[in-house]
Amino acid sequence: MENLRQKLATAVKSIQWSYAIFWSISTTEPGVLTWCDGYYNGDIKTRKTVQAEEMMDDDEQVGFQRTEQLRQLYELLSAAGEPQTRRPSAALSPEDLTDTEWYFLVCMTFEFTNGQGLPGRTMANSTVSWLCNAHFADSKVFSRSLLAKSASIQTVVCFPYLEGVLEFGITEKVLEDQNIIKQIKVFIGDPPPQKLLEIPLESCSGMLDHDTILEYDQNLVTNTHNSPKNSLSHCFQSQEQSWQFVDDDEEEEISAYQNNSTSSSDCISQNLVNGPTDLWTEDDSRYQSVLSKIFKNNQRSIFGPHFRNCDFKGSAFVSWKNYSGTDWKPSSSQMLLKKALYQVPKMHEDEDDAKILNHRFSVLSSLVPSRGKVDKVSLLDDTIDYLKTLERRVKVLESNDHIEDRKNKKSDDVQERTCDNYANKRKASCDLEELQDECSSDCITVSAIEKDVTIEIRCRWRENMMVQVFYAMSSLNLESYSVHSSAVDGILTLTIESKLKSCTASTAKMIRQALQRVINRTSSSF
Amino acid sequence: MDTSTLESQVRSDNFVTYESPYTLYSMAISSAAASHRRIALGSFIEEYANRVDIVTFDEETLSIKTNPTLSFDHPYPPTKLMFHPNPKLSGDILASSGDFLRLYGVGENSIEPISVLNNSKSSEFCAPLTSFDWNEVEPRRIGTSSIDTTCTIWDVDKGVVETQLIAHDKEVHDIAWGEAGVFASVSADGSVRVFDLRDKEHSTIIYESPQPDTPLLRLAWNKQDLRYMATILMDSNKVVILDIRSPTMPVAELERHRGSVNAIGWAPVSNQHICSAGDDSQALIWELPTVAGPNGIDPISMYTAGAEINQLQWSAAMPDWIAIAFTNKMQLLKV
Repeated sequence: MENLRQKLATAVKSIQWSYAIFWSISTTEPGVLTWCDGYYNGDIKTRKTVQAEEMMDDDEQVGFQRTEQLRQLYELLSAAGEPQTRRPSAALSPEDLTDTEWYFLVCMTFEFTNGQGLPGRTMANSTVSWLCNAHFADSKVFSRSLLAKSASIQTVVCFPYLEGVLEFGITEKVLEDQNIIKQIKVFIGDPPPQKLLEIPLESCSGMLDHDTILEYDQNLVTNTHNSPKNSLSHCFQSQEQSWQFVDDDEEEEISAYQNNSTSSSDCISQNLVNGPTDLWTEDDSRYQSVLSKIFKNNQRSIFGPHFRNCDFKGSAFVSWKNYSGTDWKPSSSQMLLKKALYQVPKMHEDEDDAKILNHRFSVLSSLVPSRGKVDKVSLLDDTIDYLKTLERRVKVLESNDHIEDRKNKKSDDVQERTCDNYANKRKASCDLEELQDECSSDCITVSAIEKDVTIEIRCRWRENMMVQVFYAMSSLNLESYSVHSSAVDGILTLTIESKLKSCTASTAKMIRQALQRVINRTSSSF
Repeated sequence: MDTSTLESQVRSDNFVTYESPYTLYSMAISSAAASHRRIALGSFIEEYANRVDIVTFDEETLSIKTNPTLSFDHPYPPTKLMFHPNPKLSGDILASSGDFLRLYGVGENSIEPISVLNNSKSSEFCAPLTSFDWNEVEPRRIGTSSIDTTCTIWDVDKGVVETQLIAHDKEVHDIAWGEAGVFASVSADGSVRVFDLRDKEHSTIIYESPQPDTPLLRLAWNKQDLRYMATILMDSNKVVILDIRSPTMPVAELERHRGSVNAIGWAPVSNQHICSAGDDSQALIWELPTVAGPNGIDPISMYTAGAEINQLQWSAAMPDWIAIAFTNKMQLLKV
């Protein structure tokens, strides 16, 4: 046994190919070629460079160790559905494998009847089979072609050896060369026919224990894995999620995603999603079943208690059946979810709009003489009435103006202004001196935008009035920063720009009312 | 032999129903080590006055109890509720999103508002939030997603904005943390993007919906295996499974719902199970296969509720139970 693997190792290293496999006749199924032994000489992925360096120190062991680890991993993966038998510490996890190692590992699951596949035909014909472009080969010729493609295995050579077939493979294209076969045969020895059974078959079928063989080779520890990945290998990697039994150091997983993703943009989905129809022909169903054979047991072992046996006892869930249950009638799709994403935000925005609108209404209410009602409709009614009154008066004034000065086209101006905005309206109203007697509230206008409050007062001049106005303003937390005043014919015109000092809710209306009281008080005191 | 009684008896062991006075949408399961598991339920009433009730679930007696002191008003429906991922013994914290991100301290018999986090410097206005996620690894961090195309990362301990990123071209619909400084978001622009706070200049597009601008509505990152996340599309019965290492192409599309999908949740203890719930009233549990068959992937199990399922929570605090919400009901389903 050790002898065979040593020979395989020597041979494959001498020609610097990626792997060697010896397929032998199964002891349990006569005529069927199964994995007997192999030696892996290809790229090794090391997740930690430290490990690679350590391995460098005794690289003579590495090759055997790696092959052995691969074999252990295979046994671990294919351990028949008994979670207890899981070896807690496999040296390798599926994530640690390069694509070529994957190929090597999956090869362990293959078996060939006489005449089937490359080893089977080699056995049947007793000839050397040299396959270039193995990765493009028809799966009838080379059943592992898709797998080879994923591992970039390009050249595979098979020839009969003892009671079986030797297979060598490499990730490069190597044209048929008898010298290579000769070289291999030198290393593995061309055993005389009588020594046919020198390899105990039991040991083949039972596979290895922890045998370690010392062998020297300089080329063994290759560069850490960097080969271009193709889709299938990623398919594997994506499947590896299910294998938890090896301690995963996942920390780097996320931070590394950018690197990974750039190198692997063309992957996966076509296989997992469309794969079976697009890529995997019926011949590949074998491959699929092999994969699922390997992976099935492991999946089962990591599920929660209720999944392991597909046992829904005690579960509210029942086994899924297509089109079971009542017929579902399409209603409006994702109604609540869409409302949560689209309408709820709108409600918040509408609320903000409402706030702004309310603010404007409060400004308006301070400008328009109100009939005491506070709702918005009444306020708008008042505003309409007020505007009409103003327009009437403007016309009266116009006609006066026309008599005084016909060239003046003020009428248009005023008309425009009344329609324009309240500032102009105010101005218009201020021009109308006769208004103030009828409508005392016209004397005071307060407009508040955010914290800026503009106050305009127009009333009969009284002594101390200014002082009292400012006193009232300070009690309302208003700080004036600009004051214009004039007194003509006993009429005081006062324009005060001020700022609301605190957040107290002094509305424009409150300010107006307070100032109104001041003016009334002064008038009555005299 | 009254088998029907027996059957109903058996069935009542594996699910519990709570009926709320209002339509329910948001839902959260507390991680606090308490004798009875707290579950927060947010009402969905299309007006200002909404309500959040915290009920308790007793796994022994399979009963759900309300506590009038554990209930509070919420302005408009919360778009998401979530409890602190690693609450201190001193107290549990519940967060809600809506107009602002709000934090509430939850005691045995009291709820106190802790803070209202508003990222707008200038005014009271803050673009409404569609969702948020609390970072399990770094619980001082909460990421919020907003209709203003941004994601905001909060330091909730300090109550300040750590960073705000313009994440997408359109409304951001959901956000999910992967690790302490890595989050992903989905948007009305149809893309899933991954952000790393160490490099805020760049984001990686992991997926774009096949029909341009089909909005992506929700996102779930597999906490057991961070390579995988799942998203759902508008008006689609698909759950799209993504592998961050293979951008743009989903690794699987789960298409057995007979109506649109409303909610998804990865299994908290297994790395390859996910539950989805949809308009077809079904909650399906899927096992992600290693190799997909030619006819797509079938769920392994299903539960049929009485109406469109709007919400789903599968929490590590209660891994044997999946909570779903439909109409005014919350149900806990034994897995």
